[in-house]
Amino acid sequence: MRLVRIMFAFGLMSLSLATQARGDGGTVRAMERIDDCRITVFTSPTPLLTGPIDVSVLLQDAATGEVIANAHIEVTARAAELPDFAIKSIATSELAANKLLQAAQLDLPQTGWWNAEVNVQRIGQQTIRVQLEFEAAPPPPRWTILWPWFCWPAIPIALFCLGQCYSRRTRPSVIPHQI
Amino acid sequence: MSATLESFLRSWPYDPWLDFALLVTWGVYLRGWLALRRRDPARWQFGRLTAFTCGLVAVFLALASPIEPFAALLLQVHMAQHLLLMMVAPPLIWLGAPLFPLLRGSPATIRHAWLLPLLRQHGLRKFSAALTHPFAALPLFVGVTLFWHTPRMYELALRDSAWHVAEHACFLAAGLVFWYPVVRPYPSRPRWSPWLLLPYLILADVQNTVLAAWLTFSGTVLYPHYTQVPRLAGLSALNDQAAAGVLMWVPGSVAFLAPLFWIGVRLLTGSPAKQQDTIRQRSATLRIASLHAAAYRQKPGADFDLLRVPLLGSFLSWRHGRKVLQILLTLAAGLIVYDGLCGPQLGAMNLAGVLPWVHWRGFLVLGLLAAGNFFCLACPFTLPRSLAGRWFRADRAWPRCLRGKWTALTLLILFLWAYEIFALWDSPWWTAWITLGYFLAAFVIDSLFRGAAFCKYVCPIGQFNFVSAMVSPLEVKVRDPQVCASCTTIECIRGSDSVPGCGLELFQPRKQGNLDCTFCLDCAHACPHENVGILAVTPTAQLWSDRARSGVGRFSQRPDLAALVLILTFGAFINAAGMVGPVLAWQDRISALLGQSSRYLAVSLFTLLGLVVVPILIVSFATELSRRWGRLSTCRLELASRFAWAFVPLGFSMWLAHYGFHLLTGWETIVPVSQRLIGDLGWTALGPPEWSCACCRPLTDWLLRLELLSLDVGLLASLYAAWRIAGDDANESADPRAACKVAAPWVVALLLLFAIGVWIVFQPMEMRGTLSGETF
Repeated sequence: MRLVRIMFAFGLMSLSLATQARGDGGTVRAMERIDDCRITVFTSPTPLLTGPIDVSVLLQDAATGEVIANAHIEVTARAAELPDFAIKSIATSELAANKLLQAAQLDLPQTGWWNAEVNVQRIGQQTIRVQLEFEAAPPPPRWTILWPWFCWPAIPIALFCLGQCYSRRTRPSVIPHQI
Repeated sequence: MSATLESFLRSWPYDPWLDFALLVTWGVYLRGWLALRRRDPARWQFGRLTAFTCGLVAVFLALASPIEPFAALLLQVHMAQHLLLMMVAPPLIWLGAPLFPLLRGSPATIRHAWLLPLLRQHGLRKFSAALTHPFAALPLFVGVTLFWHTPRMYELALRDSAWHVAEHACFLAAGLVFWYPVVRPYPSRPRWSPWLLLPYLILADVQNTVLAAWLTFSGTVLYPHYTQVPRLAGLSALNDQAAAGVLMWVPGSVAFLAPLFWIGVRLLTGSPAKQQDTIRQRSATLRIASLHAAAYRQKPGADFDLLRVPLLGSFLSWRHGRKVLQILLTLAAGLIVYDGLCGPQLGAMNLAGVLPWVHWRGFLVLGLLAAGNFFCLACPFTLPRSLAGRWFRADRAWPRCLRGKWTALTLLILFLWAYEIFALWDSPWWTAWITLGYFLAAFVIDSLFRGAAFCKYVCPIGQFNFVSAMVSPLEVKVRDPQVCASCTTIECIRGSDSVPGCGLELFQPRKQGNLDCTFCLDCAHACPHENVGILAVTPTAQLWSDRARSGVGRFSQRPDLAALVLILTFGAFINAAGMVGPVLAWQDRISALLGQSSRYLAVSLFTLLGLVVVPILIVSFATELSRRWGRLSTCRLELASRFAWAFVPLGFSMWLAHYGFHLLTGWETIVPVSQRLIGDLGWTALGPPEWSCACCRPLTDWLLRLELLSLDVGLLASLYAAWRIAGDDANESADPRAACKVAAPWVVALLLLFAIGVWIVFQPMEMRGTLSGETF
């Protein structure tokens, strides 16, 4: 039992380290060749919702396809209705699950269309700019995403009932009078 | 090393739920394997453990290694992922013969209540035998493989993460079904000829070859997703697809042909398979019997005993260990009182607004869940009792008319009402006075009355701890009942020259459960045979027992205890509901309707309804239905008094979700408050207060999941307790279905409460004890 508890504790410990950052790519929003670079911009989740979103950037050498690491990438998003209001974030590989990418987290406060700009700066090179636009939908109620977390007890309950139905056929009493 | 390869090697996605599931599965298997190996080392060799571990590692590599993030960019990596799930992990898992180790390793209660009855089912056994027959397993495996490799489904899985999870689950399940007849893990007993495995594996390989050739030689990209993603290392989408086909073809064929060759050789050389099967059958039957026998056998002293844990056990066994803990908590209480009376009167900036309402409550429920009633052990309020004992002769008996929980129950209702009305969490001044009042009440009562009258009959916190500790995994109990049978001095209750006996009148040999036990360990210190320990027990197992308990009596004869349990359960929901937006808005509407400018009346109405009226209605209704449907002759009050205990786990889970939420979102608030207090006292060592830490963290999905998980487990434990109580009562009746009928109304009541709990945790919360005061 102690062993199971230790494993359980390790498991819980790993849960406690969970973060919201995913940065694992998502939908390709833009793929352009600029100068000697190929730049691909991904967004997640799909579809995009208000709240935290990931914008991931893959920068490659256009000729070889080799990844260009350590570029300074800044992502700026502006609501189409409020162009003066901007959200900025720096994209880093630490935030990305796939380390080919550099990911930035943006917190979109409102629904509707957004214009985003990705600026890539490399030492001794010209700044690369990629523009994209996307629509952020309102987030669905949390319960529509988390319903398995409160519905799963139905499975053990059903299995238990099945087990009891079967054992009732074979035993004279539901539960031995042992209590 | 190229930058792409380096990035690949560093890309380890973090999936805590997968890690959790794999770790727990491995832990359960290892525990069972160790137990089985002690009895039969020849059968349970390291090879099985290694194979099972490698199987889980294969699942981990497929889903939580660099393979996972790169699967969306390269088809060949995605193919490797599927091969791991279908060809590598399943046979390795079956080679570990996981059935018995997982059964033996699971907790005994779950094993006997759920798993074994389920596995005994004729229908389930017949279904699993049919499913793992080669005639069913092969079409299933081929069908699943082809279905998910159709471009439409493959694209769907790449687009939608939920479908991707479903795809992986299908592959793993189909792989497990397919490899079961090939590996035939112990104690399987196939009734078909092993020669059937030869065409089985050949046909599977043919299917694999056809699909792989289709991928390899196709002139077009079959999955358009891979034309839309950036290409890596100059590899075109078509070449990537061909490489994926080759990967499926060659290693895939090896996975089918290697066991084919092995089985063929064994069959042709006439290995004693049949003889082994007979031995396996006999051995399996014996093993199941011995598993059952071992589960019921319990050696004295074999249980985990906290008092025998190095250092911690020695500290607790030390006579002054409790006093040290009490002094520490008394100092903390002193600081709370000082800051509450002299510090800023804003909850989030004051130690009296943060330490008791955010931290202490959170650690209290976590301690009860993980260990036992250790707060009562370290309770600062009872420290003056020893002083009172020196100055006064506490020789009066507690008045007979007040013996019971009604006094504590009334105080508890008053406290829950006052908590909402006076916003105690945000009033350091009130918190300080309540703390002082507690010290005073404990001192006065224990100066006048003998024993631990304050703890047993008055203290509302103590009642919360006593009831909640019924779900704790540790209990102060006798190590070996045989020793007590021969004991004539019974110091555990009478006391010895230097140590008092149990002040709560709990006689250890007849004590059951943690009810009324303060974990003071006086009994352990007094016992001359060192026969009292803090032993591991099955949580909640005492809830359905109606045996006469020392110092408590029978649950069915204690309506005061039942009322206490119901108040604590419904109090958990009322207390949590009082902090969610819709309920606060409802209170405002009621206040407006009643023409009140403040919420006092609406809150009082809400508390009265939730704590008194609704519980009485629900319990009365359920009791009446139970009696009618189950045709019981039991007295209504007795029946209600017994079934009330089924609410304990669900009520505790709500407290846990609520207090755990405050602890996890507001634990940093202690930092600036301590800095401020230390600064106010004239020390600047900790620097100026960082008030940014006093803002609560947002409610993340993982925290919400933990809250739901707490409620889920609470519901299951409550339902099981209701079932056991119903089973016990239904034995009065000759109708074997009576238990269902008796339990049904209580099950509905519990499900209703669970639904309310789920609704509460999804609502926007008012962040108490933090500076932001916003809702999330």
